Amino acid sequence: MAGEVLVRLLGVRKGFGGVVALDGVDLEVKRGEFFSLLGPSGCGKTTLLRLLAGFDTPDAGRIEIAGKDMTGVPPYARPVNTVFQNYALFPHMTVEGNVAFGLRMKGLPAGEVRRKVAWALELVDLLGLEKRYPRELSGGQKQRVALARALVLEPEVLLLDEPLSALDLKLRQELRVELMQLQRRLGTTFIFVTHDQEEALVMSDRIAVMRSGRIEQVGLPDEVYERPKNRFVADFLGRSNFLPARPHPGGAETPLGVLRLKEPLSREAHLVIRPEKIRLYPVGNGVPARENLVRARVEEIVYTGAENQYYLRAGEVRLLAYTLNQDLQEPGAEEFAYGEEVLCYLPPENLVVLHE
Amino acid sequence: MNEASTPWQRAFRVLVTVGPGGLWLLLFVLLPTLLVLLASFLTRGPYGELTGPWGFHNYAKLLHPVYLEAFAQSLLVGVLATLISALLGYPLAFYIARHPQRDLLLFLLLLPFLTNFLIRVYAWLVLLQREGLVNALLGAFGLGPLILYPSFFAVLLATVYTFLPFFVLPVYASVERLDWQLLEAAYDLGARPVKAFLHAVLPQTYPGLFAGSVLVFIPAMGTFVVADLLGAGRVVLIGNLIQQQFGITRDWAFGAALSVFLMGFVLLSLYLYARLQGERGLKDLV
Amino acid sequence: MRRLLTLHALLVYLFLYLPILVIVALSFNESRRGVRFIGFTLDWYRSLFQDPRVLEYFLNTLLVAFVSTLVATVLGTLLAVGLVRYRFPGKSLLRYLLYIPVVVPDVVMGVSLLLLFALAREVLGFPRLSLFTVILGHITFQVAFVTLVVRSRLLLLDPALEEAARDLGARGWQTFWHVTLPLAWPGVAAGALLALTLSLDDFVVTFFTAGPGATTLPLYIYSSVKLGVSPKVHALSTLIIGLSAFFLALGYALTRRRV
Repeated sequence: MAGEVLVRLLGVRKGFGGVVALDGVDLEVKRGEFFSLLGPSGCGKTTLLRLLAGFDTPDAGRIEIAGKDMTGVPPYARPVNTVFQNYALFPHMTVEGNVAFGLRMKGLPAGEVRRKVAWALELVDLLGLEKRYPRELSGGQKQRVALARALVLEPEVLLLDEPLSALDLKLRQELRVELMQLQRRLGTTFIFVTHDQEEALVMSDRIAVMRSGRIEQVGLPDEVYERPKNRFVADFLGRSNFLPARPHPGGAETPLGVLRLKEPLSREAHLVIRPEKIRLYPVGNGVPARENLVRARVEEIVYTGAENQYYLRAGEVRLLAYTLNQDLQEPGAEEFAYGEEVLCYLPPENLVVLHE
Repeated sequence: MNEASTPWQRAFRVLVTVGPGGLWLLLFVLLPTLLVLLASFLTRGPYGELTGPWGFHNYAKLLHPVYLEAFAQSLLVGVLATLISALLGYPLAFYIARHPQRDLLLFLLLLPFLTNFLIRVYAWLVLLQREGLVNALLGAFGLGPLILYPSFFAVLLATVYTFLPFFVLPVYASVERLDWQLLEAAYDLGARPVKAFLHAVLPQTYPGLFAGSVLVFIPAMGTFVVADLLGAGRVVLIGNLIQQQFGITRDWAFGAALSVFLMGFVLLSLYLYARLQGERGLKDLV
Repeated sequence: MRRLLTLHALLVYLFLYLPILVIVALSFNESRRGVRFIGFTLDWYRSLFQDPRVLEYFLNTLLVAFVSTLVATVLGTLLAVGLVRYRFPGKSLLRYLLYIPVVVPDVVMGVSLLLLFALAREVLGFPRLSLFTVILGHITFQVAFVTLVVRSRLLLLDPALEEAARDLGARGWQTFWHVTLPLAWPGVAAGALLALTLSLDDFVVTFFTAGPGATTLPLYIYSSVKLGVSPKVHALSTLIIGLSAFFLALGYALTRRRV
């Protein structure tokens, strides 16, 4: 996406009583993007969101939204609105009162308030619940009210602070899709904070992975997943196998022996391979390649429904490999037993080199 | 909140919210307290006014046996009232907390407490006087009449009566939070009822017990009304001394020294309480 | 064990109610002294109502209570909001000052205010000890209680609610009026009720800060009682007991309905 830059952060720092929450963050978010801030708790993603909303002031650096410097601009004057983690619905107001709140603060005439509230409630499929109080709503409904309340003001940027984390899995998955559709329909820029890597991968146009107040990598979902820049990103997004590697004429020398790579290694590095990229074969038949084959023993099997997770050991090295739980009649879909010897194929194109 | 705003906006917000109340506290709490401290170092003039010389003479006067006795009596009233309140109030708190109608029982506990303080003290005067109910009952058994009023006993009884809810409420609060599983665990591990109570229940109610004790002890030893009405001159506590200095005796300087002493004693007991309870103990108190 | 506890509770409740019931009973007793009930009468109520001073003291008490409660509730609520929401120099000093009226014996409170008013009179020429100084004194301890009650309510509130209001475009006073105040309302009401009760009940601070002609009901009861047992005081006490029971029951019923 090569759109116009809507939100820009330059060297933003923020500390809380000696603890550094943001350590010089530079970031650009483009108009119309669904942008996710992903990281473990305490990485600074929520702090970043609060600085954008204006609830906190950066110690240093500069925040621009829609080309305007936001220094000293209070939250009520910013072109952004927030969906809070626990919704923060006003308990003493009805659904209608909550959604109308911002419009009334702007002093819009009653007729326009009514029209816009109806529009927003239809948007989130809540027509008919206008007179309910937040305590009379389910978690998913509260979530929608929070969305409507923020979107009714037609902000330049919608900030979402882990909006799905309080919901159960099934509802979360449904709302993910709805949120994406909503974002596409309105074209509003979304900045979405989450610690759930799957959520970030599924929903975002771009992802920024954060750790200890720094941004580790920014990119498209498949970029950050397939080409992690460092071990933290590789480990935080899904699971990975790590192998120390040294240059070798055949590719790379690793504890598993010499592995061929797409491009030769120039210096010492780590190799990463995702568990689902490792292919497993029974010893002896049907093996498609002669290189990058490793013999290993099954130590543990975890059955998760959609896939089987194999904990393997090859000499001193432990490997994790996933196989899809397909119909066993299909060729190539094998099941292995505890203690069984298997052949692992590590495709060269899926061995990612990390120089740290 | 450390919201994005100009320093001017921030100062304005603080001024509007904290300003009036803060000014009030400075003017009517801090300033008078400092004045009392100041006055305690002055001397009573020939017409009861405050004048020089400065010195510690008022504090030296505190060591006189008359005043030491008043102090000892205050302490005794405070300690005994606290102990009796504990005996009456601790089991009651358990009873209320485990009763299905506990809201009603709490209401009934507070009802007499919210009728006027003077009336509550006065009621005991009526009960304990020579022709009062207690002597009438004793008379029915051919006993008495006893002189129950004015007496130390009457003062103590009315003190307990007036401050008992202060003890029950915090204990009740900690009983309500009690983890009864610990008691079951103690039984399960073979403890007998008394031991189980001592080890599994009592320690959990310490916060309430301490808070209740402080809440009874401080007003019990600081009040002058109860001793004034039911002691009628025979029981003189620090509070009565202070009242006298600011009343008939008109020795404000010495009265101020007594006040500083009483205040210091209260703060000392609060300090000891805070040491026992930790930081949040003080917050539990109010 | 259970039975022992019940018996104990019964006795304590008897201890709590006996004195009050005796006063109520005596207020209808023809006998001027003693506890022997010799006949029902409303004479004491009649003479109470015929005493114009009692009405004046009653009105004085109400005036003091309502004015002081109103001022203290406004000051205390604002102060609580400021203490919870903002950081400013001198905050910890204010927090200590708040606890002084709560923990210091009321005699000390009374005499220190007396000293202040005496000094002010000396230096500024006012205030004369009067109902005005009584009101000042009452506000002083009420502010502390209101602030503490409202503050504990505010601390329970989710700060995100105020942030949400700001985020949706509410300015400072709009946030306070539309969000903070309605949410803090139970605390404000409880604080005001407590302040009212404390004022109506206060004897000690009033005793030291009231001047001639500024008599309230507690002062009147005190001076009558100093002269000995009086059936008129029984009647007055019964009325006060009845009134406070009524209001407490009302409050009890209202809070129960809400839950």
